[in-house]
Amino acid sequence: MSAPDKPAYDTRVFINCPFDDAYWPLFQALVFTVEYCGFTACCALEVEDSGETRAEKIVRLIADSRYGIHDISRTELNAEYLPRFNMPFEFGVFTGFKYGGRGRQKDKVILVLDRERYRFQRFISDIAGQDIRAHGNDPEKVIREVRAWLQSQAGRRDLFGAEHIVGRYRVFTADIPDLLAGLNKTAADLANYQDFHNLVYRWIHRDTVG
Amino acid sequence: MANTKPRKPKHFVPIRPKGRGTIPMKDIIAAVERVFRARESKSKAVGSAS
Repeated sequence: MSAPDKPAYDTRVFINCPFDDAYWPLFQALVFTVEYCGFTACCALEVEDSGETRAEKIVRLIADSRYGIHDISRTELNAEYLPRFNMPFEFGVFTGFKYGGRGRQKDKVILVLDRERYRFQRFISDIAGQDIRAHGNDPEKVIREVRAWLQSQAGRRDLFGAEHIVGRYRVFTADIPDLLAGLNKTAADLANYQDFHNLVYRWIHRDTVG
Repeated sequence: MANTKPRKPKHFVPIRPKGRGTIPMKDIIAAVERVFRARESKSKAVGSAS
């Protein structure tokens, strides 16, 4: 059997968000929703084991993704009073491809998430006019917003309903301790994005296809 | 009684990730299968007891 094909441009969703412990439940909900809608999630965490420079790999991931979800809810100063620039950097690269790129790059679609809908006006007013939605730091709100956005932007009428995905997400998160126990792993091991991604994919496959 | 099971979207198949993690996929498949089977047998047991 041949290796699975690389996910197509039109199904790839680049997730640009913080990767700290506090954000983990929202990140988990983001990846789960993207995958449960039949798309594939990618993010900068895939970069870790690569020989490419981090910037090269991120640019390649962005170039290969039609959809981009950018969560600016943690735009703040770190413990050393320095701003966290990775998310604005990746957002800028994605936007640059969309407005300055050629061919399919112009079809890129952007969703901006924040904790409050109009908070961005106080620190990044240049993004006014983009699709900006609020999640209030609630994973289930993330699921509803991302699912609605994917449905409208991808023109897909065949997605599972939002309440169904929320319900399955609750079951998935409740299953995680048993899944980890079965694998002889701990929650910390899910920090490896490929492992987490494979786990989400397989759980959804079993849940929907059998 | 109304059928409450959601209809599966036509042709829906999740996309298999390209990257390889540190946990072999066969182990992930087995762990997921165990969790689903345990839940299914538990709900069967509850169903037959009621």
